[in-house]
Order: sequence, then structure tokens, then C-alpha cells
Amino acid sequence: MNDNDPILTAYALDELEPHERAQIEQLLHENPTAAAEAERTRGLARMLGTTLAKEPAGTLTPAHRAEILKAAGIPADATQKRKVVEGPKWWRTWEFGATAAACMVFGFGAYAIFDALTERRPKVAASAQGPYGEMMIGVPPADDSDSRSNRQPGDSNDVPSQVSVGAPSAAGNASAATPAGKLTIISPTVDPRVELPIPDPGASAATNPATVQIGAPIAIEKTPKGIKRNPGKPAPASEPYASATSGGLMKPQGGGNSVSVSAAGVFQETARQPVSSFPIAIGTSSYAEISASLRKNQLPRPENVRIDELLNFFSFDYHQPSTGKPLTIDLEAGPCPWNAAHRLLRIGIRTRVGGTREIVTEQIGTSVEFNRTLVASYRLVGYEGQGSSTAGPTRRSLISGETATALYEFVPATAMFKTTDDFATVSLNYTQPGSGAERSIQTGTRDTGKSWADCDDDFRWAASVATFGMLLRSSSVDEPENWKRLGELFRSSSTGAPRSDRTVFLNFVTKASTIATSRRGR
Amino acid sequence: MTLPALDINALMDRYERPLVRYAQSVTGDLESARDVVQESFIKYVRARSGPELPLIPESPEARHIESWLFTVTRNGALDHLRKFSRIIPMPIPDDRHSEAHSPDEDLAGREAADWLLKLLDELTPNQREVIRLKFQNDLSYKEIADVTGLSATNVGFLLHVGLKKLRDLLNEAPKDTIPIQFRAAL
Repeated sequence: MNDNDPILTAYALDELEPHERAQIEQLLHENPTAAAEAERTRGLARMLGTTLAKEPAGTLTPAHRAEILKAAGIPADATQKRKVVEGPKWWRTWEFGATAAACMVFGFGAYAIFDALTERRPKVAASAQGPYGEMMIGVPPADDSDSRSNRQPGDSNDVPSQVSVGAPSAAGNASAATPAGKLTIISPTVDPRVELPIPDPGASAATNPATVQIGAPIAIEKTPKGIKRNPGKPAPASEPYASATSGGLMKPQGGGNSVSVSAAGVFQETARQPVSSFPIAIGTSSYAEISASLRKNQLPRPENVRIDELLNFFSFDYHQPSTGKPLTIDLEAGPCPWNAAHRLLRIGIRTRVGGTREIVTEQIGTSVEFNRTLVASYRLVGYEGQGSSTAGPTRRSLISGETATALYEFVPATAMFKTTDDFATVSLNYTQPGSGAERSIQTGTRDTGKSWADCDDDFRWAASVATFGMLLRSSSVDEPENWKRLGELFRSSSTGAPRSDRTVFLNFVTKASTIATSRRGR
Repeated sequence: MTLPALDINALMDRYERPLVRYAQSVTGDLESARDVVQESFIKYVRARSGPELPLIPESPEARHIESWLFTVTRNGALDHLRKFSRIIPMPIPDDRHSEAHSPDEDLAGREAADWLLKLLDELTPNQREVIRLKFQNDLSYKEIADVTGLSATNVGFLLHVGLKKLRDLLNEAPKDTIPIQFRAAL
């Protein structure tokens, strides 16, 4: 390979298959000139992406759209209706009434309606409008919930401004909104070129852990069930859903109000606490609990849903440790399905497969250090009720052939997608059995802004499983749209060869979906 | 692969801008670009089948339909050119910014985009097209190959050469004329 080989460009643009990629990386190790060349290509690619996204793009005129809708057999008055609901109060009228079917009849994208209906992360209105380069994470003003209608994707005259629209507190508020009992599963399409607003660490839920009730009892039983969502009728203000949304921001409920926030752990501000640790002592009893409940046609109790245990029930195809190393750390960053402004870091640990199931490493200590300039705050997904995400190192042995998986949800700072610095560094310290020698390995990773599709199946599967756990623990467990979107997540996570453990789990998800959505309205 | 029926309004919301921009880069004017894109969507609603589903961005279905729409739009735009006997491709016209912009649009960003587009005019039409599809529309080599009818290897080669050329042009440009965003790429 010389410095002028197209394969080097393909490598820099992330277009190679994993095996080719590995080969090139090996070669680049020995050829610093070529490595620098690849880095320059990457820089040019980033710049082209951000710059070309700013080239203005025309839209179709209403007349063009009308022709298309006519060809699609959508009634001519659809555009009319659509105009009506674009008024500032449309969401109040429609929030509880519209069904996906009505969306289509009235010319809405179901996607858009879903977003609007379940805008329980009200500070962050992700719009599907525009090309990838203009994917917006819009931030309506804090006190004006109505302003979300400004982001109505159906407005063909709406020229999305580039995304540096964030009020400084936006992402911080988003992270504050997450721990609420509601869950909105969104399409994980955070664009690498989107400039996320600078989070205000002060607004993060991390700053006020006292108001967050970890593992509060049975979220779903606190859920206002039986709400009749009559089409077209505004929700009574006394309805908890209405009060939760009309304020424009879901706040963690304190002061004895036991709305469950068991759907999430506590965000830590990176500025205050950049180092975290995750246990690798993993049980799988939660999986068995869920399985047993579903067999009885019941949803599992939220406190029995342990996302960490679910994740670690599955085996993943993490990189093999290199020769001489007992362990490998496999990292990937990608979209967060329940919050478009957040990202997930997947940490995979894999031990070398030995001939016997011998203990390959003992006394494993883990640490994750987040880069203060790139990550505003983070939380360890799962482990609710087991202490904070900055618990001291947890130690345990790993046997050969095992994998361990942890997910961190993090709030990227503005600088994230403009840098080649690592945003997180994972270290494992361990003592080798027998010799007792202390060893450590360390791996850092960048967030290159991968889309859902760019991430590998293992990432998508882990993120989907976590979302399933989040949904079971949340108070919006009976929202049919959430289950529909979860189904899409899982479908897009199972593109490889079928794996029996995953196929069985998909049946669980289907069963849970049926039970949850049939509870609705009772 | 059949074309699943995704929500047409959501599809238009998401893809009208990239498609109109792309068509305009071929036809040279906004009006014909709109007609071409309208025709692509009409072809789509006639070809799709099954119950209408919500659009999940980045899902395999959405990517598939995106490629399909780009392909049909490209063919439509080239047909349009042939019909009007223009030379392929037209230089990028000055009216490409004729659409209204929001007033708060990043001016420096747009100037940089203008500057870059002028630079791109120096490349061959093929190189320019794959660069647009790759970096403006985020298509993979494979998807670009599907859209353009080139082989993926050919796409890789065109991108490689195009990027090289672009870098040479950047290096040749007087330093004080280069927008700040581009200096890092030198």
C-alpha cells in the first residue's frame, strides 16, 4: 500500500469491512506517512460534510406536494387539516387524540406525530426534517411548550437553521428530563455534524440526586391508567400526563411524590467527577424473572428489570484479545434510542478463549475516564439501586471466553464532533492468576458521530435491550408507539446471522408488547 | 427488494431538500429540480406496497428508499437535461441560493460553502457528483454505486482522486482567501 492508494481513502472514510480495516490498521502502524495521510483525508471529509450541509436546499412547493399526495391517494383536504393543526395550540388538541392512522389521514408523518405525542422530553424536539446534514435537535424555549409547533416537520417553508441553536441549558435539561418515569423512544439518528448545544452542568439531574428516587417501586402502577384518549378532545388539565407535559419539562419529582424515576440512574457531571467505574460481577437472574413473568402473561415488576443483567445475558462478538493479552476492551459510541441529544458508549470486555474454562484474570478493577471538554455528563445504564455510577472499583474474576458489557449514556459537549481526541478511556487493572502480577490495559475511543446504521449489530442489540429495560421500568410502558419503535430498533439490530439467544429474546419483546399494550385503557 | 410503504409526508419532509439540491446540481435550476423530485415521489407512491409504516430514519427500509429516490431523481434529472439538450453537467448556477434562508443562518458557513462549491467546479462532473453523494448526503460507496450505476470500486477511486485534487486546489489557493474552516485540512 502506498500513500496514494484508494484503499487508504476508503479506510479514512470508514468504508472497509472489519477484516480489511484490521489489515490496514496493521499497515498504518508501520507507515506513519500513510497514517498521517489517512488522518488528513478524515479531516477533509469532516470539513466537506459540515460545509456542504450548509449549501441551501430548495423544497417542494405546496402544489408539488399536493400532486404527490394525490398520487398517493391521500384526500385532498389533508393539506387543509394539516394547516389547522399547525396553529400554536395544535398539540394540546391533538396530543391525546391522534392515532397513527389519523396521522396519515390528516397528512402527518406518523413519525412526526409520535414525536409530538410523546414529547415527554419536551426540551429536545428532534425533527426528521432535512437532509442528514441538517438534522435538527431544536430547543424550544423552556417556558413555552407551544413553541414546539415551530418545529412541525410538515411545514415546508421551515428552513432549518443549523443546529447551534442550543440555549446553554438545553442538553442539561434533556438529561434532567431523562430520569423521569416516562420514556420516549426516538429514532437514534444524531448526526455527526449536528452541533449539540452546550449543556449546562448545573441543570443536570446529577446536581440534585436527592430528588431522584432510584428504583422507586413499581412505576407502572403509579401510571395513570385508563385515560381515555378521545380523539380531538383536549386532555383535562388534571391528568398527570397533561400536567407533566404542559410545563414543558419533565422534572424529577421530589417532595414525596413517588412518580417513579426508576428508568434511569443519576447523571454525573464530568467536570466534577470524570472517573467512573462499572461492576463486572454480573448475574442474570433478571432475565429469568422477566421470562417467568411473561410466561404468566404479566409484565415484570420494574425493580426486577435489571438492564445490566439483561445486557450481560447475551454474548457479543467483541474483538479477540491480541496474543499474550488475556483481555480486550472493545468500545463503540453511537446514538441513544431514548434521547436524541445523548449518546451511548458501549464497553465490551472479552477474555481469551482458553482450552479450559480457567480463570484468566483475577481481581479486575475497572475505570472509565471521561474527557471533561467533550462530555458534559454521563451515567451508567442499569445498576439502579446499587449505588452511584461512581462507585469504587468492583473486583471479580473472569473466566476464559466470557464477555462483559456496560453501557454509559452521555451528554456530548459542543466540542465532541470537532475533535480527534478520545472522549473516554477505559482501563482494566487485574492480577494474573498464579504469578499475582499486577497488569493493566487501557483503551480510549473517539465518538465519530456514528449513526444507528453505522454501528455494528452488537451495539444496536445492546442499545435495543437497554431500551427494552428502560421501557419496562418506565411509566409509559403501555404506550403502543413506544413498543412499535422498540420493534423497529430490534429489527434493525438483528441483521446478521440468527442467534438463538437473541431470537428467544425477540419473542419476549413481542410478548411484553402484547401484554403492555392490552393493559392500556383498562 | 420491494419498496415498503413508508409515510409519504415524513418521507417528503426528510428527503425533499437533499433531493431537490441534488437534482438542482444536475439540472441547473430550481424549478426543474422540483418537478423532477415531484416525479420521483410520485413514482415512489405508485411503486410501493404494503401497509403504510412510519419512517424510522436510518432503518434499512429508509436507507433503501433513500437510495431508490436518489437513483430515480438522478435519472429524472438527466432525462430532463437530455430533453432540453443541455450539456451535462451544467456549471452550478448562481440561483442555487434562491430559496429563502432563515435570517440567522450561519453566514460564515454559507460563505465557506460558496467557496467550496467554486472549488468543486474544478473537479470532473463524476468526481463532483460522488463527493456530493458521499459528503452532502452521507451515502456509502455501495449506495453511491447503486445510484450512479458505477461499481463501488469506481466510486472509491473517483472519491480518492477527487479528494486529492481538492486538497491540491486548497494548497494552491492563496492562503488569505481560504475560509478558516478549511485551513485545518491543509
